Amino acid sequence: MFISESTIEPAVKIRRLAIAGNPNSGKTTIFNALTGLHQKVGNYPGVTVEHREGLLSSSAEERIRLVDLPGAYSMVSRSLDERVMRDVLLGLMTGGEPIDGVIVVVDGSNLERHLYLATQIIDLGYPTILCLNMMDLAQRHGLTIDTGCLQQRLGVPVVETVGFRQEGIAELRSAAEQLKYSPASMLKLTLPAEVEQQVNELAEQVQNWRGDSSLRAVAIARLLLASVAVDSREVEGHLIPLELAGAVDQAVAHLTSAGIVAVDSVLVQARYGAIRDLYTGVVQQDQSVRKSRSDRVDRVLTHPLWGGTVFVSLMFVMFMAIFSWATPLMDGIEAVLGYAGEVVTRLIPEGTLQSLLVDGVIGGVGSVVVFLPQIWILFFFVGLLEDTGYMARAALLMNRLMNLVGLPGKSFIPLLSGYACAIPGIMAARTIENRRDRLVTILVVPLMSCSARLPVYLTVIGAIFAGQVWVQSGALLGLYVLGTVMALGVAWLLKRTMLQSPPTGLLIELPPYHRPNWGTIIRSMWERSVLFLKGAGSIIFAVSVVLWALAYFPQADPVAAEADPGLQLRQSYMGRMGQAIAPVIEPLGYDWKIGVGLVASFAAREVFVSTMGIVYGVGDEVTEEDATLREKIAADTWPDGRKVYTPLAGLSLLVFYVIACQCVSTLAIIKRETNSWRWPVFTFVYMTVLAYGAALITYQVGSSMGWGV
Amino acid sequence: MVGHQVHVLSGLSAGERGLVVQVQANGMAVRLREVGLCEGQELEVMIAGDPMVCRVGRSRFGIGRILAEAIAINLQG
Repeated sequence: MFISESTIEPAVKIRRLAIAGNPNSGKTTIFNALTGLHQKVGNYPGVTVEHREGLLSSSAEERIRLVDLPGAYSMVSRSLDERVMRDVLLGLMTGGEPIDGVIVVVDGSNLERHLYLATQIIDLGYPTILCLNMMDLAQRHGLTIDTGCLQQRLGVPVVETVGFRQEGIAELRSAAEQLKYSPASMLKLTLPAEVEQQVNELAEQVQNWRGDSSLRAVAIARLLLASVAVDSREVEGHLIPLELAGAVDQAVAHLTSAGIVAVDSVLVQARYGAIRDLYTGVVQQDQSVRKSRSDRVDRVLTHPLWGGTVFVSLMFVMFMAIFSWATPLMDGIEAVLGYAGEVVTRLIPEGTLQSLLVDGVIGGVGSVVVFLPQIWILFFFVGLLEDTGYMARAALLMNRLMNLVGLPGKSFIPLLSGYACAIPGIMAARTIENRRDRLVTILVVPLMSCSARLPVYLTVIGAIFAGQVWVQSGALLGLYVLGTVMALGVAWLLKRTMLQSPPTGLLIELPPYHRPNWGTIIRSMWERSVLFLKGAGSIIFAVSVVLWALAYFPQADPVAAEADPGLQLRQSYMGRMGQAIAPVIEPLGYDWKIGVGLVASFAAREVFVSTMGIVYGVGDEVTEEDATLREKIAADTWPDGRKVYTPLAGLSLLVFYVIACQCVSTLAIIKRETNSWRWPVFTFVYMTVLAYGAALITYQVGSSMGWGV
Repeated sequence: MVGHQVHVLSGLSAGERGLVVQVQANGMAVRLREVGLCEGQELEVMIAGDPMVCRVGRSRFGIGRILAEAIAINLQG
């Protein structure tokens, strides 16, 4: 008897398609439209480039997964993003699964340029679909594209779409489902005979190395010759084994002696030549429509003066939003956690378990989720600026200013966000292409005075300059300036020493402006939150629990603790640590009580105020607006009767708080974003050393001059 | 080249347009060509200065001085 079909599980075939395209081709919108909510975001192994995969379609026989590749201008990779695209398409990604086909997304209104990458990819011989996106823009520009003819000339299916209106998505999906292996077609390049010969010789070696099909081997050989001038320090990771690299060098030497000095440029020009031939007759331009709206807008928005004014106003709104809109949300989160704490307090009898749950667990969760509002608001603005096309203009405007310290214009927004909170700032550094520039930006963002430093500034300034409003405001402004100068100075130094990168010259594409896609923006806010919670949340949480234990154990005598609210903290491990470091911090002008505050605020600097509240026996519900704590602090003396908080000692403490890295969340996110423990350790060490040194100089120079003692 | 003048891009002012005749940037020449800034392409200066904003074919680019000095333009009209 035959086995009926329903009794055996039909083997579900899984196909993986990659989606590739230039930056600004609308690739992400197409990817989102094709996969909907079925997406997974992660990182490629070993690098910080995002890996996004989604389900394109699923039937009884077949499941098609779609992999979103980072945007790139060429298979000749110049950035980490481009390298990831190249490595996935060439099957060089370590641990990556092979790709069964490619959807190349191109901007239909700028076809000639976008076909450059598209034809490079088609050359590789995968079953490929060309997705002509932004067809609305093409029409507005008076372009008509004969897709039938284009399809015939390229030898791959062509589908027209308007991504943000979801037009053509169904057609694209069915083209992907029907995508079959088609006889490979390759763009015919007209090359000088010597180049042609070298390409063929290299192709043979490529075939020996990997056993690629002969056409793909030719495509790879062309890429090898086109990549000869790429500085591998920037790209990190080599395309080929050393023997093959030798063969490439030989080919280049051979060509040079034959009078062909720049084989890479010869290949680029040959490809553009071939694209021009392909393009003629496919695209018709209505000459009556020429000037685009973006051109007129750009005359204002990229103008040094008008554009600068618009940019400063936008940044002001964004900054105010992070500062003020986040507050009610953060208060809300704290209220919810406070309520949870109350419930636990009521349900569980007083003791270690209750304290662990309320102060350790709920407090730990609180110190993680309290950052979410600021992350949401910053990434709402960043998403809006990127999605409308404005971000490239902003980077252009800020380029000259940031160049003074050796950073690109794109570092500006991460640094500015640092005033609100280093965590979203560090995450926003992802938009910086050059790895070293991105790293320098990440390393200096924590020096910008974040909002968690403000309570400390206000408490200490209030204590040492009581009643002098003008001095207080001046001091506060001075602290913000100090942090900024330090950040820029350290960036300048790093760019000249450890993290030098050759100036390559600025080249930024200014994409056409378009209406924002709210779905994309909300999705990116959501993804940032998940990445933060997963990547940094666990570390922050663990450290919070450890710090709780240090302050809770050993337990003081309950009767004595009743009479003296500061006793428990003083005799806890944390209190003992504060007293242990007293000799180290005495040259800075700090007593052991400040030492306890420093240890307690190791993980989160804002804890300083409440810790001081406990140490001075005011209670831990104290805030920076509370006059009691400020008065107590101002009146405190050393055993010999000298005041502890002289203006100078207070200043030294402020300088320490401006510079020191007392934020475990920052370190956790640096670990997440750099994928290595090396950089968070480096950040902690350099900031602590710098803070100690600066506070020492402040106090010692100040006392020897007799200022404010 | 009668009636035409070759200029360095960085010296042009807003509104001037012409054809790219030479791209010589060390290390960046290939990338400039790959994004379409290659010989024979039409270019128009939209904002002069450093960086400058240029329309190249159907794309617009912000170009820093180092690169702008490495691009020669044959002015039209």
